[in-house]
Amino acid sequence: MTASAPATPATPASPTASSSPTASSSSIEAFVEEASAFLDEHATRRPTGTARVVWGEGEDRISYFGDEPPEVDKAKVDAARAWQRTRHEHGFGWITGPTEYGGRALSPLHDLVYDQLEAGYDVPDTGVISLIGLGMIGPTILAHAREEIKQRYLPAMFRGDAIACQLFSEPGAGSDLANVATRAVRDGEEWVLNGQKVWTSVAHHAELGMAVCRSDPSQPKHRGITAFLVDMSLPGVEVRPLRQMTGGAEFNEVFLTDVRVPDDHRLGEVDDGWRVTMTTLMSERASVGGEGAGPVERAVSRSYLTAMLEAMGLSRDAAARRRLAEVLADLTATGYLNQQSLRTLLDGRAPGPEASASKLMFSHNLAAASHLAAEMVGPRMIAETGDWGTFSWNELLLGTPALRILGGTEEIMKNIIGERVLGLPKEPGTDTKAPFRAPTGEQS
Amino acid sequence: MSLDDATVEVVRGSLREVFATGRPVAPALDELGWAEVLEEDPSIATTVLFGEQGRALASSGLLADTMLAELPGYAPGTHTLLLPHPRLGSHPGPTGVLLASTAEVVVVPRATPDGVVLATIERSSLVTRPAGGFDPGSGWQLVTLGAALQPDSVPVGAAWERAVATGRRALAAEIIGVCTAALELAVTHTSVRHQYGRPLGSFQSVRHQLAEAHAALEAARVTLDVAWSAAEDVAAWAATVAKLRAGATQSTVLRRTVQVLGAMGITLESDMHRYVSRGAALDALLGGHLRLADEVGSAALAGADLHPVVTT
Ligand SMILES: Cc1cc2nc3c(=O)[nH]c(=O)nc-3n(C[C@H](O)[C@H](O)[C@H](O)COP(=O)(O)OP(=O)(O)OC[C@H]3O[C@@H](n4cnc5c(N)ncnc54)[C@H](O)[C@@H]3O)c2cc1C
Repeated sequence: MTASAPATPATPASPTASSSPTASSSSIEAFVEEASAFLDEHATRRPTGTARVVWGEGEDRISYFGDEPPEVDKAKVDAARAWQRTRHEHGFGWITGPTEYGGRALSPLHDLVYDQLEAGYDVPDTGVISLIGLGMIGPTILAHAREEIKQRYLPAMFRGDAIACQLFSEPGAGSDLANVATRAVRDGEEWVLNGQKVWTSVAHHAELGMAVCRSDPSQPKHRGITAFLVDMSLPGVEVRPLRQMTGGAEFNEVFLTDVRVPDDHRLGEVDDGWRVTMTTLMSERASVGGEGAGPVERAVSRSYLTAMLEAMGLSRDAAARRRLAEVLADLTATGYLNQQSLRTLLDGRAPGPEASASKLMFSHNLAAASHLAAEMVGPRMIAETGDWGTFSWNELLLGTPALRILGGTEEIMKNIIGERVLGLPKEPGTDTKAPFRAPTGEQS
Repeated sequence: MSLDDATVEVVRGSLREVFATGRPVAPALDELGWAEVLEEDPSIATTVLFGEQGRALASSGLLADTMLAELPGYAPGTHTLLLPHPRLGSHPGPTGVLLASTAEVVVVPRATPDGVVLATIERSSLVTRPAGGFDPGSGWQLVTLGAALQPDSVPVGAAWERAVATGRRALAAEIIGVCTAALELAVTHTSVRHQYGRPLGSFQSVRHQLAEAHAALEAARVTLDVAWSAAEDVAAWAATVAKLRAGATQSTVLRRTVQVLGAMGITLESDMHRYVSRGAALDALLGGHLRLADEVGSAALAGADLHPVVTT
């Protein structure tokens, strides 16, 4: 998944990275002072912080997924890399990370404080680096890679030199990720990978991929899986763009043909890749359910939506007011839910199945806000009229279905809540004991 | 008179072929002897024609032609009708939408204090720009007219209401066609694709979503049937409700058919996104469902006779 992201890496790295109590309690005040000085020197403060929206003023884009032409996209990625490097050089690239890999070994609270400070400045969006690479794959490497591999890749990733993508989904393995068929066959000190990945966000910018592969088809499907870090420049790795309904080409097909990966790039034990994968997925749900992206956050806000009601002459309309209040109440509740997840993180616990609730709420809120806008703005959303704040909503409206799919579909999130939180019995007929057999024939 | 089922199926098959080849629709209809079919049974003929156009995601000037047929004195083929801009509902104003049509003369409706008047204008003298955006495949052109009313304006009285009603029934049929095709695609996909060793369609939440879509679609279909058989004094009202129902249905149906396709549903790899944008675009013409819901609600409160749409 990819998104024009929170202005900063939203997910503090794995709690295992959070460090000694002395570091955690190192004075927040001093840290704030240091971070503010850094930001003042390297970035411009936003004129009014989280100011009130004045209808008709400011950028008229409400897009969760970028849909810019490739040159613009490329320029944004370069800017993201440059800003991540600057952060890193000044000790803000990986606030919670262990010092031996270039981190600061401070607490998740420091990380959060930094994010909030940075939100007051106009800095490049680093989502392309942080959402998947730093937010999901970084913690996975930290937890499951060998020492030399951590040394080699973690600093590069947090310096903005290596963007990482998630080579998980396949044509035959979407919701049922454990059904991956991409083969990994051992050959001495190397593994040979063959298969096809699909919907791979940011692969076209990535130096690194985390591939989930089938290493032993004779075992039940969750068991014969092994995960690898793949250098995307290796021979046999081919990336082809796929276009989304929003017009953006943010995800790709990735073909792996006789790609030779050294054994030291393996994550976790042989045939134990499912456990490794779960580390990544838990971080994903937490980060998708987390904060909204810049322009989206601005539009899906009390200030914006209220201004919209007024501009459309509906501020006295009882039905419109009730719908607005419902959306705002949901946004507020989601904020509390996220705070609760954050406390879990601050307590040093890994995100659990409750992250699924945040993710559900997040996509629900974006959909509800865009439907509210559709009602307020009416047909001007469909046919461009040039009026500010009207047609632009269709970017979000077209983007919200994707949020109900990526990072685990809404139905799967509900199944997880049903089974792991509520303790309901599993749905019948989903067999997990039989050996994996590579799917015969093409699945649509 | 009405067409028997077997004839309807033959007609449907021929229309499907016409739309599948993508050739210009109007001449193909002439070859089929469409005028006779239409005369025989306007309700079924129109419903089938627009249903097939929706299913095929085709774009043509048929809607304008069908509306023009209600307005005396204009020949479809040489003339096309400027539809009110989506923001105006069914009330003609200074901006409008031209459908994909090769006609060289545009009939321009304008609202005046004395009712709607019509004027004609050469297409070549209009400033147009592609509607683009949400449904780039629609072939619509947006038109902004100069302030002055054309000198040859003629009042059309109640004929405008009849044209709008006809247009709304046709649009309802087209939207239903779009949704039917989308639902078929979703049913096929979820029957063929397996996850967790089972077809997707065997998961209850998937089949429930598609069952909800089907129920909404059937409700839209019967509402349209009723609108066709409504007595003349309530025909406009019934057409409004049929269009409202169809518009609301496309939102219900397409949200679900997209969801059950997973990532495939939001990429250009599958046609699903085309149904989504066409459904929304058609809803916006001659009054979107939200706007029509407002109108119907206000009319009900003002004491309008809701028969035959609501009976109590
Ligand atoms: C914008 C975007 C970005 C993405 N980025 C990445 C990426 O970077 N890397 C990556 O590996 N993948 C990525 N994905 C893929 C994503 O993880 C999958 O799309 C998702 O897991 C669903 O798989 P699928 O699309 O194959 O849908 P399917 O699994 O085929 O599901 C189709 C429908 O069936 C339902 N369904 C399936 N199983 C069940 C069940 N047991 N019970 C009830 N309903 C069920 C689903 O909820 C859905 O509605 C991305 C997807 C999107 C949309």
